[in-house]
This record gives sequence, structure tokens and C-alpha cells, in this order.
Amino acid sequence: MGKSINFAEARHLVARTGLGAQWKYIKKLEGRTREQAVQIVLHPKISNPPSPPRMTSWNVRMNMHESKNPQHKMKMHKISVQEGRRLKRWWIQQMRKTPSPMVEKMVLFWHGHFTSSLDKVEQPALLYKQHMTLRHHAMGNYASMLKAIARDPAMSVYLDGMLNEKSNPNENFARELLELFTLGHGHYTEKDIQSVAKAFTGWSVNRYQERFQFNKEEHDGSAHKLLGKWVKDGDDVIRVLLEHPRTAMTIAEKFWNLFINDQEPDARTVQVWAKQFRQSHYNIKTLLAAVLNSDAFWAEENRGGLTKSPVDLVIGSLRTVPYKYAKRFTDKDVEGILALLGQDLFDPVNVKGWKSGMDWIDAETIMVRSSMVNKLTGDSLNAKTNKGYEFPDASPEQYQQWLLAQKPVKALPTIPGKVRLVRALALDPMYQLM
Amino acid sequence: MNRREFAKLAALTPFASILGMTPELALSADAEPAGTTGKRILVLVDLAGGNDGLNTLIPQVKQQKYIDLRPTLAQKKVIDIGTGVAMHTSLEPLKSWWDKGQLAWIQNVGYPKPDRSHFRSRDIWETASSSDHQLVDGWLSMVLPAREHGLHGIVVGSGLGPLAGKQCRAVAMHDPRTFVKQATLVEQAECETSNPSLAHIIDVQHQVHGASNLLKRSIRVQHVDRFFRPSNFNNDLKSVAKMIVGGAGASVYKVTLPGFDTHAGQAVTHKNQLHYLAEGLDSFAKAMQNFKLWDNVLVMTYSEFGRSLSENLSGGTDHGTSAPQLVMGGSVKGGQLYGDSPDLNNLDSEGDIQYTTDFHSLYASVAERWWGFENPWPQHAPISFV
Repeated sequence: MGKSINFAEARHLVARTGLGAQWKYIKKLEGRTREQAVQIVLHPKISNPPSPPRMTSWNVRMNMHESKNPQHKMKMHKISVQEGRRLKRWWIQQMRKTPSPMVEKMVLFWHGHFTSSLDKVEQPALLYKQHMTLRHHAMGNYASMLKAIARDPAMSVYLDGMLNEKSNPNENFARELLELFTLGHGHYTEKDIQSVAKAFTGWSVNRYQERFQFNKEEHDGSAHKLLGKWVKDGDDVIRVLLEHPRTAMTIAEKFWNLFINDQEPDARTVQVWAKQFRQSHYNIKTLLAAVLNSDAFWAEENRGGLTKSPVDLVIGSLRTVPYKYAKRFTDKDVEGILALLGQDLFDPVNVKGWKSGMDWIDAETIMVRSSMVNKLTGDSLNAKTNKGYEFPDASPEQYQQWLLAQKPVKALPTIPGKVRLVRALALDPMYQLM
Repeated sequence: MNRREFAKLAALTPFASILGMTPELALSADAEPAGTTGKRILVLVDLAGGNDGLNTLIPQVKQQKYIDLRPTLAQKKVIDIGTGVAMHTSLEPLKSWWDKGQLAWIQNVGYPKPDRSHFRSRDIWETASSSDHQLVDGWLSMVLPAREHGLHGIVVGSGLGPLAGKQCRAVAMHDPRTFVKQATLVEQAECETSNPSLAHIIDVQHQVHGASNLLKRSIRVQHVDRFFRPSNFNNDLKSVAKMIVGGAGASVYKVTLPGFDTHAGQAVTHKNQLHYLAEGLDSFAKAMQNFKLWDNVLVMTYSEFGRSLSENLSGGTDHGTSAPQLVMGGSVKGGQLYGDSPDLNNLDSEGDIQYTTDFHSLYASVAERWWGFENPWPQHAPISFV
């Protein structure tokens, strides 16, 4: 048995795998062995999101869109914007309330990996469907998720798969499949992309039923070379890509930047993870276990080496800091702040997803981040009553370990008081890191 | 470099603290007014939504095709500028600048295989990429960081756009006054750290305070106000004018005039938008002239795309391809057109006009002819509008 983890280590595991650093979760893991704690984290309670907001079907949308009456077209656009915003808030609500934040963290990660956007797809109903697919596979199997995504209607619209026809192959999905989802840039040729595009011709969408549809008459059907192997259709392509060692490496590298630090991944470490991932036939929990049990994950010098994403900062703070002010941030407020900070849900900035690491912070976002934290902790510093707060009973040293990954940069207030202390810690530059 | 200049730059330079400078010292320096240093400034005007170029610089009435395809939107009353194309009547305030030779049009600007998505096409313009390649950093990050040591850019609005990128020292703000106020909420810390993520945050915090400090004087500049009538766009241009006069010291300022995505009822909307544009630029030019800064300023417009040649059933136009852009300034070789007019008889597969001048050439002109830097896009020759 390994040695048991202390408060700071438990805090590290909670913050990196969840949303925020909730006191009760930290306490639950404190004192267990690393392996036990990781096991608990990897087997979160099932927490199904509430039922989704009502969304107009594609079919109805298209009829309105194609209507001769210009009012219909305008109205349709308005409806899809409204429904899209409701969908964003629906997820925000789930992220704020869930007892299993790791699931949400992984779903968010996969949304950034397998990007599609409301902006291009314009169909909240399809994005919801994709979200549920990603949720289903989030901590399951990558190979299954990849196969599902290759047939996902929102993806088909987003990366023009539905326009990919025998007479006029469209390379958009093929390129991103190789560059972003599997091999990574530099591990394939333009010829490989053309082969993949042809193999996926005819993989389309049935707009009436909002599901995948294979159009045989639009399918190329002849054999093409991909990475030296012959492929005829999309499933052949996916098989070849899953056999290639780069696919597991691509995911392992991304996990380094999700869980370890903002820097270039350590080549030897990610190779070990990728090997285990591949040998498990792409079991995501196997990869997560490898990451969370690694020396790199627990290394002291990596604490505070990861920039909080907007979701980590905003939703994490609302979950962590027991302020009555947290309730004053409505889901609509959160939606707006996330967009200002560059993490508009269901609307990643481009095909590569949202930003990550140090790129989250620039002059514009640092001001929004500071004002958000300022507003959240901006209660009267000398409040006599603790009404509305649920402050843990602990020493100032432990408060520091609770809210910050490393020592604060600025000096802490000398006047006692938990409100003042929490505010000072949250406004410290270190609070932007985890 | 004298001590004052050094202090001014250090506030904006990564790791000011490591240079052994306290923030008080780094920030205490007063900025030199731009007018006295003769710094050449670029003011970018973003016509967001996709400006209808065909109704901005209008094919002469003889173009039957233009009239046929735009039954309600074809402009009959225009400002003749004697060149085979005419300006929309809303652009009247700009006519005198054209006549003085300080405003020029670059016709039919675009790029190969035009993308009709707002986001993607905007990315292509702002990162100077192409339809086939994605780039992340803004085009000015290829021009300024290697050669310009001060503050690179200030965006009035949100999003750094063409100034994005780690190498660019740029800030976005809604207005300088709010920025200075908000900057006080940003902590400023000194620490030596081996944690690159922490170092980056501290560095950005210094940038915010450095920029805020440079802006403090701009806020107090009063005598610019009288040039601008109240409107959102005028207010943004007024902020830029104040920052330039007050010596904020940036090489680039960017403002946005939104509302060009005219899918329906375009006649009124577009007329109003062009009016805001013309009135704003006229006021801005007069203000710059008053402070003898006009020769040091180059104004340039851009937009993610032009609009469809054909009018749609809602009295609007849809996403299109290329469009004219204007340049203005005391040093502009204006009163003339650059590049070829769109050929309405040689359309693309969607029935839209095909570009004749690549937007990279405009950027090349700014880099090479305006700032005297190397052209990062050697395959695109600069245009001699400046």
C-alpha cells in the first residue's frame, strides 16, 4: 500500500479532476492512499443532467428556412439563437450542481476535442444530441466514441461531411479526423487526406430523423491507400487510424495539458501512457488511471502549473467559495462571463476547439477574471455576522492550501477575518492557476 | 534610449521585475505625445458583418446586370467621383477628402476560394491566412513584434483580432476610462518564479497596468470632444483620437462598426451604416488635422466579406466575396482608385464577383510602405496608395 495523501494532495486531486476545490470532496479523499483516492475519482456517482430545454426539430427549421416569407427566416434565426442559449444554460446548471464534476470536466474536454459549434451548425437539437453522445462515452472507450462521432449529425454539418459526395469529395472532415482526432499534424500526407475523404463519401445525415444516413449512390466505393493500407469506407479508415500508435499519443499529449501542466508534454511519460491506452483498446479510464497515478501528476513542482480554464475559474469558484454572492450569479451571468473569457459553451472559437493553458490569459481576460472574482468575494470585509456563509472551521494556513495550489504571491492581510482572507486568496495571481 | 523611454517600455516588457525595476518606477514615466515622436499610426476600421461593397463603391448606372440583379437595392442616385464607379450618397462627408487627394479606394479586395462563414472568413482576413490554412495569430503579429518595441495595439471593442498572438503587446477595451478603472482591480505583483504560467499572468498584469498608465493622460484630453457628434461609432473614434493626441503610443488602433450583415431590409440599414462610417471618419480626420497628426495616421477599412451580387427576397443581400476598402490619411496618395473593378460578367459558381486584389497586398503596403518594415508576404506586392 502506498502512503496516505495529505490535505494539499487531496486538494490537488480534487481541483485537477473536478470543477473547483470543494472542501467536502477534499476531506473525503484526505488520508486515503493515492490509489484509493484515484479509484474514487475514477468512479463518480452517476448524475444525469436534467431534461433538456425544448428544441425545434431540423425538419421544422428547414421548412421555415426555405419559406418564401422572409419573416419566417428571421424568426427561425431568432429561435435558434434563443434555443442555443437555453442549451448553454442547461449545461451550466448541470456543471454548477453536479456531485460528479469529473464527468462534466471530461465532457467539456471532448467538446473541445470533437468540436462543433452552434454558430455553424445552427441546430441546438443536433448539438444536444452530440453532447449526449460525448457524455455517454466521456469516461468510456475512445474507439467507440470516435466511431460514434464519425456518424454524428452535428459533426457532419460542422465539418461538411454531408457535402462529401462521390462527384465532389469534401476534405474538411477527413483533414480534421487525421489532424485533430487521431494522428496529429505532420503524421500523414495530403494524399492520405484525399483517400480518407473518398472513403467517407456518402456518409451523410437524414434531416427528417436527425440521424446518420449512408447514401450508397454518393459513395465512392473504390479502394484507396491510407498510411500504406487499403481502405474502402469510413470504418476501414477508423480501423487503420486506431491501429496507428500516433492516435493514442495524440490523446495522451492532450491529457498532459489537461491534467499536468501548460508546458510541452514530457515525451517519455506520454509514451508510457499512450502504450497503456492502446493496449487497453482505448479504455479512457485506463489512460486516466495512468495519468492520475503518475509521478508527474503528483510532483510538487507541477502544482499551480496549469492555468484555470474559464469553466474551472468561474464555475469552480462558484462551487468552491461558500459565499452568498455565488447565488447572485445567475446561469445567464455565467454564460456571459464564459463567453467573455473565451469559453462560450457549444461555440468553440474554431475547429481546434477552445484555447488552453497560458493562452487563456491576456490583458482583456485578466480584467474580466479579476472583476469576476472581485464581485464574487466583494462582500463587506468587516461583516460582523457569518450569516449566509458556510466557512470551514480551519486555520488560515489550511485556507491557503484549500484555495491556492501554491503559496500566494502577495502578502496576506494581517487583519483577521475569514471573509478578508478568502478575498485576498482569490485575488492573488496564484488563484488563476491550479 | 534615455532612462525615461526605457522605463516606459519596461512597463510593457515581459519580466519587468527581473530587470530590477519596481512597478512604481516602471509606471511613473510620462509617455511622449505621439505627435512629437512622429510615430506612424494605423487605424483599422472593422465593418463587421460583411459590408456590401457593391453598394459602397457602385458600378456606374450603365451596368445593366447590377440593376437587373438588384431590383430594389440598385442605387440610382450616387456621388460621381469620375472613375467609372460612384460612391453611395451616405458617403458624402468623405467626398472632400477624396477631392483633396487624402482618400483612396482599393477595389474588389478578397482572396481565392472565398469562405462565406462570418467566423472563418474573418479569421482568414485577421490572420492573413488562406481558405486552405488555419493560422492562430493576427497578421500584425507578423509585422510589429520583431521591429516595434512599444505598445503594439489598442482595440476599442472586444477581441484582439489582427493583434492577437503572444508576441503582440495589445489590449482591448471598451473605452480608456473604463479600462483605467478596471485595471485597478487587477492585482500587480512582483515575484521571481520558475513557473511559466505564473510568470505569464504577472507579465499580463504588468501589461494592463502599463497600458493603463499610458492611457491616464488620454482620458484627460478634452479638446478632442468638439469634433465628434454623439454616436457609438463616433465615441469609439473619439477614444482613439484622444489616445493618439494623449500619446498612448500604440502603433495600431482598431475600432468596429457593426451592423453590416444586411440579409433583410438592407436599403435603410446600409444607408445608415455608411452614414455613420463617413461622418465618423470625417470627424476623426478633422480632429487629427487640428492636432497636426493627420500625416502620421493611416486609416484602413476591412470586412469579412462583401455581399451577394443578387438581392434576395427579403430586400437584403447574403454573404458574398470581395469588396472595396478605403484608405485615408494626410500621407495617402488619394483621389484615385487602386486595383481593378469587379467584372460582373465573370462570376464564380455561386454567381458572385471574383476578387482582383488580394488583401495580403494591403497588409504588405502597411508593413513596407507605411512602416518601412520588411513585407512578410513577399508573394504579394505592396500597393502604392501610401
